[in-house]
Amino acid sequence: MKLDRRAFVKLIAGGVGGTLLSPLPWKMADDTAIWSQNWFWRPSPARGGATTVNTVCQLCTGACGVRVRLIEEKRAVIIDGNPTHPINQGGICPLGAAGLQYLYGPSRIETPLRQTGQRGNLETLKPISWDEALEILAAKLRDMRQKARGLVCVSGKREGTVPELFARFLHAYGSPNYLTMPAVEDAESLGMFVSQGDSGPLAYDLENAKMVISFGSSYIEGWGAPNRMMMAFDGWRSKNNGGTTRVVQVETRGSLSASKADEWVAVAPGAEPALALGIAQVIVSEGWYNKGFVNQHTSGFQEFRKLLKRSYTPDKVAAITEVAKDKIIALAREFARTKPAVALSGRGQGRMPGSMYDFLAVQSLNALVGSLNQPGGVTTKPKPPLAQWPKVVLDATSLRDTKQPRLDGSKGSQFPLPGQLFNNFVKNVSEGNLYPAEMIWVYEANPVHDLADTKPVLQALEKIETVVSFSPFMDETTQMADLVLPGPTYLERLEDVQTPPGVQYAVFGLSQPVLSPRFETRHPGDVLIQLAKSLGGSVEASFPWQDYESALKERVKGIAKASRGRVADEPGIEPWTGTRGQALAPNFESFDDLWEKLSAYTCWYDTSEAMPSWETGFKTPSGKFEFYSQKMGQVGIRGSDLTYLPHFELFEPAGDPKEYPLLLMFYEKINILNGPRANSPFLTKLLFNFELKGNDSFVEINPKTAADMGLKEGDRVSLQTERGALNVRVHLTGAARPNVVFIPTGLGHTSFDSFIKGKGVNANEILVAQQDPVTGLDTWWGTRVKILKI
Amino acid sequence: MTGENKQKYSGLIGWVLFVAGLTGGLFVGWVVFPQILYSTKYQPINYNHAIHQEEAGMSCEDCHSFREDGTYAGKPRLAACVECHAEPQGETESEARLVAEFVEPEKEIPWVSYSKQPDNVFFSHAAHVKMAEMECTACHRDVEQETEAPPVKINRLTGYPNEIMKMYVCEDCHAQEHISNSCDVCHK
Repeated sequence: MKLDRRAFVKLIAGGVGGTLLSPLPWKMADDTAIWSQNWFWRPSPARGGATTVNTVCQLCTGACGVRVRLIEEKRAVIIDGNPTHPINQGGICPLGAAGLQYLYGPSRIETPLRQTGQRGNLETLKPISWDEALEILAAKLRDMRQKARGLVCVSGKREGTVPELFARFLHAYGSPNYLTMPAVEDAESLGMFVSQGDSGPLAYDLENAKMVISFGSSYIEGWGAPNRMMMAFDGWRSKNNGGTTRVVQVETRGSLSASKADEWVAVAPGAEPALALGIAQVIVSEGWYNKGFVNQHTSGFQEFRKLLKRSYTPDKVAAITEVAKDKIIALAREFARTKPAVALSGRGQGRMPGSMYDFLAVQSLNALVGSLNQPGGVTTKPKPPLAQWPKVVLDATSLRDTKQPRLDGSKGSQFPLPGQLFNNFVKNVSEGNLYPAEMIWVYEANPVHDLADTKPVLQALEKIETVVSFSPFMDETTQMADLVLPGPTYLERLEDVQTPPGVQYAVFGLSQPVLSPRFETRHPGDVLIQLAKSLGGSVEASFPWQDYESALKERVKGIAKASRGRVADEPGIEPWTGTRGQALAPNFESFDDLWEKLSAYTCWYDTSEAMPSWETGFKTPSGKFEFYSQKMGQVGIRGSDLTYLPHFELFEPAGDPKEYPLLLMFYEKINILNGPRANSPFLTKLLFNFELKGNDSFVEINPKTAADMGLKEGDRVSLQTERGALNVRVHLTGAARPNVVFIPTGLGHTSFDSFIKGKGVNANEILVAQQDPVTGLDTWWGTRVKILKI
Repeated sequence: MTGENKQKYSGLIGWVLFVAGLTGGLFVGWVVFPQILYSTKYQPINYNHAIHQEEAGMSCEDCHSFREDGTYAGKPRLAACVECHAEPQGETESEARLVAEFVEPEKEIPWVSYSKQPDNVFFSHAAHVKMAEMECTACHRDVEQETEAPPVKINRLTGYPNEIMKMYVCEDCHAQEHISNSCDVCHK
């Protein structure tokens, strides 16, 4: 028998028919679909019992209370807001909600690392043990003890016990060079120091204000404590609040804050403080100012009045700000008549210091209407009554070296004010001024990416023999480190979070580990204590604690001893509604009770402390608010009358206007991170495709400007300043002022992980800063730029 | 053979082959395929449901419990076993292995699940058992009389046991009980 083709086809047809009449193909189709849902890279949630642990978010300084849900107490699966926490009242921002991507993300550093080859080369950054890492560091510190002043620490975190431990270590070791990353607090604290004799920081009673004028502050885009600001904004718009609060946004760019305000005053680039002075002039000349306060409690008002009359009349200010004269007058009248009214300063999110005089211009407006230290106004930030640690023990070396001039020049002959001038440190080190920096410690900071004008930072690092990073993540600065001592993330460690920026009541938050550290990381506080012990002598004597936890507890005992304030243990607590200055009975009996409650609820708050009074609150030579600063003269600042008065002075932006016809200004977005962390994938997902598309960054340009240059939406251009060039695409929007190019900061990472590396460009690379000759602060606000189509 | 006969014969062979193919296909589809598709897994030790209930007087909830927050606790944990089985309670092999391999080294027993739900389905026992007051046996087999834990058939392709409930079963019941069948009721 021969099986011919026909017979074979029949056999096959029969087979296919038989199979079709069985469950095989249908089951296979269904199961294949299910199989495709189970590919190995698909995340699978852990199964088991769930528990919730409260802690405080540390991804920004906003200090929100968060709850972390854990499966089997091991795997964190979600973060949401803690409703008992007064700052965020159960709310959470996209960054806070994405916190787990920092815990589980691939840019975590798993062990201590040592650079064995060329700095910056990740291949030669080799894992070593903690014992080895600490021994290397201790040996170096022992060797350079006679040059103790050469130890530098830069912290991106300004407040809290961990930065205090870093500062303490430097003090005990003998270095005056504890520095913080630049921020608006630098300008504010100097401004407060020269006008009120108290370095602040500032707090705003915004929940109780009836009118808010923001001079460029991105009040709902990350300025101050972001979630608190959103809550305050909600209150301003709520009828339950006894009517609405009027919000005026003075800003060059049509930002989200501008679009959510009752009114957007589109001011000429950099001219916000000039408008503040223009408003002040109208209030003074029309006699709307608070005479009780101004006559009794201020000094130098006549000089200020003369200056206003001479330089800041509506006509003159209209010319500077390009805001109509009538608008200036109307704003002034409204600001003076609405009570309470408050003016906000600090451009954007307050990541850049800006000028002290910008702050003084705005603050003088608050002073004129009597909004200083008043409900609905501006005051100083109350601090929790923490106990002091024992005094630092000094030996001959530390006594000698801590008296050395600081490498940032602060309190020196050129810049006598007590400021933080990291940019000036960079300049001095890269130019080889003063004395060499031998070793730099970087904590919660990423200056290689973040500082405006990044090139000098790299030049400065080249001059420093040893760079040590404490970062949990492989950021750009850590990549340049010689030694990496990785810390745990905020979800794996204990740390305090004190009153966040701008908040008017005292807060002590306990950020606690919700799970054990995932990797071989160590708490920077513990590292410092161990390091001090191995150095011995007075440094060891200055760190008498077993570990960081005992050092922290020692301070918290102060709150128990003061026996005031409460642990927020129920939803809906609104500390700003009560009267400040009335004793708030504690809901804890002892330190142990307080610590237990803090571990459960995480937030202690207090409104017992009254705002400083007009009679005794000003620590200036005159005992009054000084429009004309005597304090500046006292510390040795010499200049014309103008130097001592709030005034407006715009430094020429870098670049020849003929070659660079446009102005480049940066802006900050709430969903593009600046600072020691980069965007998590969740956050980057929130960017529109006219902000980031693939790896392309966009800049905003006014459609008219674009038309003049023959540019269309999405065109690729080269953005060139004196400092360098970046390739970007253009987004045409009416929110951009004609002839100004707006670029967001926070993108263009060259380190971290594949989710963010190479996405967009780093605007900081081509921005040029100007140094204020009086304070030494970087006051950059714009850089001249040209655009070439590519 | 004439040409005509030859043609007839080959037509017949064709049909025989077709039927052979059909039968083979049916055999493969109905008999061989299910054998290949499922692997058989045995429980690490035999669990005798009947004896626990009859002799020890235990109720289902003693092991299959809900957590305080209302969620179903899933597979019974070793801690529940240890309450009685810190020492061997009988002389069976399973009993000896329970103590030696799991209780003493404090190792959780890797029970094989008969009805593991896929990750893309949100299923709440609390909603069904507590709120809708459904019997466990509405979905799971009745184990009251079981003296031997049956082997678990695991689908090699999907990795899920064969007792897993299909979506149409959920939908039918929801429709019957006038419960929403919107996608997001189960697929969150």
